[in-house]
Amino acid sequence: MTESSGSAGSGAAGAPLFVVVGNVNQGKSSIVATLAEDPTVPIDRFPGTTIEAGRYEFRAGGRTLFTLMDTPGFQEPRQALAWMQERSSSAEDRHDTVAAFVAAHEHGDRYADEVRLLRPILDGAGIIYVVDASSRFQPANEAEMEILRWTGCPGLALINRTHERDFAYDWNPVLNQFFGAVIAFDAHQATFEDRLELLRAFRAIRQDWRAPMDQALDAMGRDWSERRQQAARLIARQVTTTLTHVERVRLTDGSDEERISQSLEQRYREHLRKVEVEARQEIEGLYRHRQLEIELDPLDPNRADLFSETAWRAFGLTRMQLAKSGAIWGAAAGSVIDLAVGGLSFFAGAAIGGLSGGLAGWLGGSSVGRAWSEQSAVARQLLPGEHGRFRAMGPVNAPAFAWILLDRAALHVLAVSERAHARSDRLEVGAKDGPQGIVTRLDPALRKRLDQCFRRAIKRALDKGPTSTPDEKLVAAIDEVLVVAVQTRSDAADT
Amino acid sequence: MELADLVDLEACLVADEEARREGVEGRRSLARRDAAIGRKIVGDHGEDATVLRRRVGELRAARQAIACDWLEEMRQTRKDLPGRRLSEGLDVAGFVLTLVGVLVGIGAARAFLAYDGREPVNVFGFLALFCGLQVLLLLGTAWALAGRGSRGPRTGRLTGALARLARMPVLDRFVGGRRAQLEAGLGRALGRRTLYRDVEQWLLFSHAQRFGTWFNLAVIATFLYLLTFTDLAFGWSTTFSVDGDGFHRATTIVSLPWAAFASGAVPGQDLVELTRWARDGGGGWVVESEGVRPVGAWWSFLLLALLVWGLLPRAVAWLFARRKLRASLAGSALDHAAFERLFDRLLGGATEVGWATPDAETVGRAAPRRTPATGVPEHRSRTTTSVQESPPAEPAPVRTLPVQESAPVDAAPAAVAATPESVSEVPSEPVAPAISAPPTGRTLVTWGRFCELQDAEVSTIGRAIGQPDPGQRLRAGDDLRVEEEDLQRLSGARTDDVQVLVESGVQPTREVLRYLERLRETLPPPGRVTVWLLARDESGDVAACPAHELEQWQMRLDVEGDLYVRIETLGEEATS
Repeated sequence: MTESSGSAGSGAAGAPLFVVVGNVNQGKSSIVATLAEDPTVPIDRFPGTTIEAGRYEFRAGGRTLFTLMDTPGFQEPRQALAWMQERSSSAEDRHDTVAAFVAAHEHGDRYADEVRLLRPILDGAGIIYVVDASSRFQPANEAEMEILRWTGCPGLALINRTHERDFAYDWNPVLNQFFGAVIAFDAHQATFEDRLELLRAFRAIRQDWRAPMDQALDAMGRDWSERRQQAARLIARQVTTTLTHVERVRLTDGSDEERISQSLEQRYREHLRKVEVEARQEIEGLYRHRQLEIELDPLDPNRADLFSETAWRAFGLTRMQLAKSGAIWGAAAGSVIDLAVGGLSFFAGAAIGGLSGGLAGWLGGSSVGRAWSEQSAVARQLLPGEHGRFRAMGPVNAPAFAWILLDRAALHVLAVSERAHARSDRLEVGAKDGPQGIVTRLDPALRKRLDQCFRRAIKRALDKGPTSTPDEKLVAAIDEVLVVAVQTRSDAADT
Repeated sequence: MELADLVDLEACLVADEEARREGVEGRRSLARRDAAIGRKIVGDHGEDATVLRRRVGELRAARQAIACDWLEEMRQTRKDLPGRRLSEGLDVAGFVLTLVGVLVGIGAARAFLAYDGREPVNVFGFLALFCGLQVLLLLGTAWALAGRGSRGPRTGRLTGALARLARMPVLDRFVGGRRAQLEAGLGRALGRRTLYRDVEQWLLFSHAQRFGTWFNLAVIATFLYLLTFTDLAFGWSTTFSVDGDGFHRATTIVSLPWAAFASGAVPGQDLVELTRWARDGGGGWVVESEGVRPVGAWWSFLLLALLVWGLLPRAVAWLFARRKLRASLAGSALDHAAFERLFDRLLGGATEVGWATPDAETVGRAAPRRTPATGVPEHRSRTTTSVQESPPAEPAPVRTLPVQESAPVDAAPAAVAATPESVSEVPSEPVAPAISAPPTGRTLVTWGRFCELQDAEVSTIGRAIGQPDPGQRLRAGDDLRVEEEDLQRLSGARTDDVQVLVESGVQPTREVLRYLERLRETLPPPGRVTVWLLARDESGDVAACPAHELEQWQMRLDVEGDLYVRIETLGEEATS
């Protein structure tokens, strides 16, 4: 969606134009921001924030499919209606009377806001009349709706239910007298599906707008899927980069080895944190959010540091799942030894490896990557061109960590994709009280595929060094994880 | 009252309003602080808090006295108040202006009186520059001052331009999402500027005249010096076709103020004729008349002209401005909404919450409602939380408050005054609605859907907001014709206690603000109005509006710069 400053009236090239109108401070801009996925729409809790009418076009395939217009609210509807009533003699001339009102006050200060919002309606725009469900119906609202009725233009009413106090029940019979459809909508909690639902209702405003709106809805659906796939790719890249990263520090004569080791681990962790933050920012950009604020809170798993105990407890697989996964990892490693000795070990390597891997998975541990000295063969393999004394850390050797990464990333995508653009508060990732992670609920087959991808990534790092290019199988598996996550959330909401 | 006091008072109130905006805790903190100061003030004055509160509502002098007492206490804890610094800054500015006036005066006089022996000093130009121009400037300033009204919303090109600037969408790029706050801050500043415009204008005028006075003194001193120690020659010349008779008539008019007692300083026809200079053919200057040239004879006329048309008006204007400045400061009403809240916090509302009705007679008859034995004011205001503390250990010397305004107060007629009981006590029985009664001092406006309320329901709400006797009832925000008729009805009622009941959820749109403005204009000055934002549930009970609504309304009114509309809701615990 793009913002442009076209002329008032119908949308670009005859595309549907919907004008969002109502009293001041009813949440019109919030609705526009949520529908247009534009967090830059000026929203303030102080009335009269919208001074100029802003146009937000939905474009696909190089053309505008429909336009939303945010308007300043009615300021003096009773007086405006009185002006019109004085000059109208029958229902026949009401549209012309509204036009005369606009013409008469075009250049004056008084009724400037009314003129701004009525002009596009008179040019044939569809009306989206917004009321705040937390306030009661007032005489001024009746005057507003009467003026809109006088324009003779089709429209629907939207009850914005963003507050606890709710008079939607009182509003419905009133709004039904003036509008063909009345829809309840929470601009702060609306998900993608809610937005589609609302836009489907817009189709009914005018018969000839159905086709362009259907095209727009199709385009939105496709765009949404593409975004999810891109998010999956971004997560896969983050996971791959994190799992395969190797941090190294050179040593000089007289270096304090203990201090160097601590510093190495700190730098290693810092880098992984940075990779996570960057991936999150890219995903937020993908869903058209400005940089969202997530304040670190060691007690809240959703806002805890990547390496905090809270996060490790809350995310990733369960102990049993980790033990199983560890056993597979260990058995695979043991099998390599069995193969190396030509099967003379009678698969004892696989058995011992599986047992020890399972045990390690069960017991867990907070160590993420192992430290290496320059004398280690692994270190020489990881950093073949490196000479002299050094210490290295990585790649990740804790199986649990890969799942924690994935869990946190998937929850973040879920939170960002479901977040309405009208909100300006802190991003809430996951539910504080409910089960935190997603990966524990995955299908075992999918879990196994992911496990293989993780192993492959680490093995590749050991063979060829660090990489940030994800395996396509990992991308596909993560996309499935996101689909499951959305479905799980949707099921939970329905329940 | 000094300028520093006024500045400090407003600075404290601005800070207090900011604290109120922080929410319940901020308001509680203010209530605790001012309740403690209030007890001390009540003890110092040795009178009942209710009586003090009522008197404060009626008499400007009482308001000033209590406000100054409060300020004295505030200054004990707040050392950062700007009043003293501003006052000292103005003194420095005055000194600098004096210095600049002297230097400019000397420079101008020396430049104009530079006589090299060939061309005489032109009397015509001297009079035009040092007398005519100054008189014109003074008259222009006086005209500009006289053209400014004393009441009404903020006006003026500067304020208008600033307000328009604050509304420009492009401003969003620079201030982000803080445009509303910026507008509100600007509105508050402009509102106060409008309120104290007299102080501001007389302060500026006084400084300008100070500059002018010292300029003239310097010109006169330089003139005398040059007369005494150099050889000056005067003549007159002009491109315009002014003959000797015409110029003589002009000098005669200029000399009128001293003609009676210093006839020697009035130029005669001969002097005028003999000292006229004109251009000669070779580019030089020649005197037109033959004979003796009395080129030095003009000095006495010029000296007196400087004294009478230059120095004297400036000195008089300076003294006048200083006097007016003092009068403006002394006349500061200290009655806008923030002061009323302060007095409520200090003394407890004599009228619970809301505005006091001017009625000196009632005060005289009022039986003081006894405060607790400690002399502590019983804070019954719904917007305060009082903390009972021990009284001062030592009785302080008793101060007295004026019981009558020195200047006549625009008091409401005695017939419209509410009785002390009805004002200070909440009756246990429902008060009979006064809908059909003749206009009283109180007026209650119901806005929008509240117009549908029955009189009994309005009375119930009236009791909830501390107005057991709501007085006459007006309707607004519903039927425009009824709204207009009711406003007309109010214009004859001379009431100064208007409560507007607005249902929570109603936005402060232009129609609401315009109505409030018209309401204020209908009321006698200063036209104070309290808007009550009330939530109403299905059973008809009223409750506090959400805190953010209160803030929204306050910000919107701040943008308008109107300090006399007070926004309240029930209780301290506004729900959020």
